[in-house]
Amino acid sequence: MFDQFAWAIGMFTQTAFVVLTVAYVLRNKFQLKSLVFEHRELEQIGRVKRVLLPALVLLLVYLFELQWLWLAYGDIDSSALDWSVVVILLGVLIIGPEAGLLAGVMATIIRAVIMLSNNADLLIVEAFEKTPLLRFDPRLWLEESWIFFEPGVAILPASALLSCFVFWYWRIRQRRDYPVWIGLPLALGVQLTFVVFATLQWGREAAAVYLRGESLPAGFGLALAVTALVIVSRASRLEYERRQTQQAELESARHQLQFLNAQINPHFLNNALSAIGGLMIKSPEKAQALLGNLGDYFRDICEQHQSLVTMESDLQVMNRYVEIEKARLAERLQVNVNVDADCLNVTLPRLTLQPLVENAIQHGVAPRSSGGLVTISAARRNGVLEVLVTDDGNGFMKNPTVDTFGVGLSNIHARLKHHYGNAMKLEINSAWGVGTTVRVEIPVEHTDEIEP
Amino acid sequence: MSASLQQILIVEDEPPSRDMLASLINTLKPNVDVQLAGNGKDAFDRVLGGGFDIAFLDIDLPDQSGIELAENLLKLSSPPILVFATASMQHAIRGFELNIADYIVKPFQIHRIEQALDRAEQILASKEAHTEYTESLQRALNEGLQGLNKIWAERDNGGRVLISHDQIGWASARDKTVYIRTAAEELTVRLTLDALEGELPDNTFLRVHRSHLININLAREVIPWDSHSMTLIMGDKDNTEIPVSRKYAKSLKRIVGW
Repeated sequence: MFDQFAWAIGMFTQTAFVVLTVAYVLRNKFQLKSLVFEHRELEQIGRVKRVLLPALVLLLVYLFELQWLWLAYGDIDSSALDWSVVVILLGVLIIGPEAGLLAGVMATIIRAVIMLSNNADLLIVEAFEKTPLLRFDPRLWLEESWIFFEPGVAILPASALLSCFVFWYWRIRQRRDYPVWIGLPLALGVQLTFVVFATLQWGREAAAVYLRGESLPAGFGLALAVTALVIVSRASRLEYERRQTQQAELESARHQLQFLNAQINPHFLNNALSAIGGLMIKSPEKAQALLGNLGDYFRDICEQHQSLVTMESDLQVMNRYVEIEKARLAERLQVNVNVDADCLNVTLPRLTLQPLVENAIQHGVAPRSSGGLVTISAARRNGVLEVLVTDDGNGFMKNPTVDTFGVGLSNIHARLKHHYGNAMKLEINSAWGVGTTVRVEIPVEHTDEIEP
Repeated sequence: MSASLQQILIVEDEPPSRDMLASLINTLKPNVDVQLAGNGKDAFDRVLGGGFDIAFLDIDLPDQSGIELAENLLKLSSPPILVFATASMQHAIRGFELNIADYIVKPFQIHRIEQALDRAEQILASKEAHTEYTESLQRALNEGLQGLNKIWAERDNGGRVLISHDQIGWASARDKTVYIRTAAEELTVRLTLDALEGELPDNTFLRVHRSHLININLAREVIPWDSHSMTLIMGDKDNTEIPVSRKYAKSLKRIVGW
């Protein structure tokens, strides 16, 4: 009895190990995230990736295992049954029904061929040569159809169907991971199928002998293998999610850096300094005020470390920027701020407004001798903060996209996405000869809701 | 011996920078008459009036780039010596040799302006040097401007501007003149409509009438009158209507997909 358990554990864990390793390599190679497909992925992955490649891998695993068993026991027959079941179950659970069914069909044919050849010591190639199933004579196939009710063969399509049901129920219908205990009912189901068919084919007594002798350790090993799969899959999912978070943090830091670079660009600074230099001649007081303003602006963008600020403080940064640009562009730049009072304590990612205005000035005002008007308005409705930045410049024939409408805008988009996910909106509406409006929508959050 | 400078033009749209440059020049040359222009058109008109020895051109002018303005100015007889001004060198270097023209960066520094003035005086001192300077700068600018997908257009007052292809909404011929429409204004071009059609990319511009050529990107709606003639509604603010003649209706139908 102990020998049998040791055999079952050894065989199943080895098989599970091989399947899992190959699946893991495959998934990493194609960057398929965790071992078990995510729900969303199931709908998106192309047929080639989903069926053909995994089926190929299953075939390789299968052949590898045949070789291994044959070398170890010199007997394919008795063992091939059990590990075929493992390959099928894991195939369905990991990769999906198509691949698992394919493996099931393959295993059934190979198994039937071996049974029909009546000599398990033969190499598979020889077995295939001997079997009447391969003689392409339908009458022969009909004659030999009993083979599919042979317990060792019947169990293979049965386990494919059983695991497909489990796959359908947990992954498609419930849309969640397999529970850790799922190996138990699967193993029970497979062994039960065997016992039923054994009773039908060999009689009750033979089935009872089998149940006591082999079914128990085999079922135990099977349950163990599936449990191992579920645990490893969970671990790899956690690892994947950890890496995703890390990646997202890195990405966000990169955006922040890129963003600061854009703000502290020499073009802007030199233009501002030049404006201050010019003002020193005719109106030194204005030059002094602007110098203080420039200092404040740089303090704001470099020294603030909170990622979320109130609308009021972001407006202040924006106003400083506008003052500097006004000194430079003089009467050509008109700015109209129209922010509802109940928006002032709403929070948003810092430096949201300034780049929007910078963009409007660059695209809408600077290219025209007559200058232009930039309007900034903000309003709350139904838990949503709407910010509109409009210019009355030349506009565009085709609506620009976030990516074509300046680095500043795509950066804001990325930062807002990082904070709010799909709850944010950023739209550009441009009319030729009329102007451009950038509309930003984010969920309303209050000062008291953010961490200090 | 170097010629003494009489008149200097500063072309700069930002008043503070304009004042600063003027004041620095006046510090160096108290007797020079410094005049100011706020955009390319104004600058061209003044230089056309004559008498300027040097023109300081800001690269980022609102109506055209300083480089385009330079190209215009160099076509005049006895153009001024040009000095480009910019806030960052990245914007200044646009495929033409900056070591032919002089340039100064913002915020302006007095020693750089002094160098630029000295160099200009040297060139102005000999007629040959001036001619050679003008020609080599013109050559360099032409090379720099090639392949920019732009055409020359004229304003009512005769000022010439470079308009990039994608700024043109449509072109129409009226009274033997070809007009192009941009988002901001209507300009004339010294080309026939056929020649203009040849110059503009044919994947964007479509001839719809003997006297009309449109930018497909701006076409908003097609109204069919009968099986042969149609009217196009353009996407400008006035929703300008442009007739489509029988001869060209077929190619438009193909694009619209009828």
